[in-house]
Amino acid sequence: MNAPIRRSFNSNGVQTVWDSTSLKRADTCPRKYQYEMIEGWTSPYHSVHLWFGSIYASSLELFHKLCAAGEERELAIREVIRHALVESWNHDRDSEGNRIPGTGSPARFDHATKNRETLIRTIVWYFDHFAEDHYSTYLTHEGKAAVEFSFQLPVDNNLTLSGHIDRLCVDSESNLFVHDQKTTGTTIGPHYFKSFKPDIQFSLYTLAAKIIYNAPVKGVIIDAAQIAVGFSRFGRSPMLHTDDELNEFYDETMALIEQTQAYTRENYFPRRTTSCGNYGGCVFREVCSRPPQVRENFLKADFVKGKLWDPMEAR
Amino acid sequence: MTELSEIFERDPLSLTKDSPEIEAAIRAFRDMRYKFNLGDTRAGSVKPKAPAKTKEVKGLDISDLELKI
Repeated sequence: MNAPIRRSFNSNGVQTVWDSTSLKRADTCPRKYQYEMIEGWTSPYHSVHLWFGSIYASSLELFHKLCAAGEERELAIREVIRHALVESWNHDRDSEGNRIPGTGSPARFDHATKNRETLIRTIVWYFDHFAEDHYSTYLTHEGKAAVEFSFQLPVDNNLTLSGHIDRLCVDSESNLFVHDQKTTGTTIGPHYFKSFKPDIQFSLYTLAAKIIYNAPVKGVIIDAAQIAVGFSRFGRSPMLHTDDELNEFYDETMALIEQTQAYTRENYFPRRTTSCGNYGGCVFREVCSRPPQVRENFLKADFVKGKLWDPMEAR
Repeated sequence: MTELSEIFERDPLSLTKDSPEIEAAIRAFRDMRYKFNLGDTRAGSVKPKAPAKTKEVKGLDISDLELKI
């Protein structure tokens, strides 16, 4: 059987379209990039954080989209809550992938704080917390609301940078920002926000928004939600990026891609052992700690080959 | 009023944005937030509250006192 075509890779298997996920993997560890991005190894267990975060982000994105289209705020909130309830229900699907009414059951998150109920609670509380929002959705020169857009930005060396921006917003002094959401189990404070600078995703989004909208985008506004058993608490912070910082990011990104492409061509992906212990430990640490000749067996035992990552795939 | 747990057990495709269940869920979570803002840090918990443990009081008998009269 032929391998599925990945539009983000050339015929030699070298990645040419890069999003923040693949850039982060390459930056963290070339071997991790190989296992996840090139070979498609993934944990057989669903990541509750990914699931929770993606439904949460898509819900808030829908809200801004509805409001930008003129929907009344309270009706938009109801629509969003229904959306989140549907997205967190495991329906059976028909041959075209559509949900079949009357089937399935509530999705089980199996997590103490991130579950279906705290998801809906967090969405409702978010809207009430930020009811007096000082940021409004940016309207482009053509009068279109800048919400929910995927970008593919051609850059040097026949490369493309890609990503998905939820919303571009503007403050009362006409400063533009990319708007993004994060959820966490930890307390939100200055220390939490410091972890987002430097950050590949937000530098990339600022750079892309600046070029695509041809507007002076200052950085990213992060709305963070702390999810606890008994409450959801929110914080907001801007992450500003100067032109010099963005130029530096661009040069470093080009160098990172060039290096990773060279690794791919040589099929040699060295382990970056200084990253093994980050964020509670790399999922491949057990594999990398074994002798090279048995690593494949450990990969097959603890991981499955999932859907291959393709930044060109529309979200 | 529909219980929150009942709403969460219902197939959401049977609901619309105008369904009273959606409105009831939003209202319930807003009430929790109100209590949280008043200082109840467990207000947003959706876990069913366990019944308070009460110690059974045994009937007393005068002989239990072991008085030497």
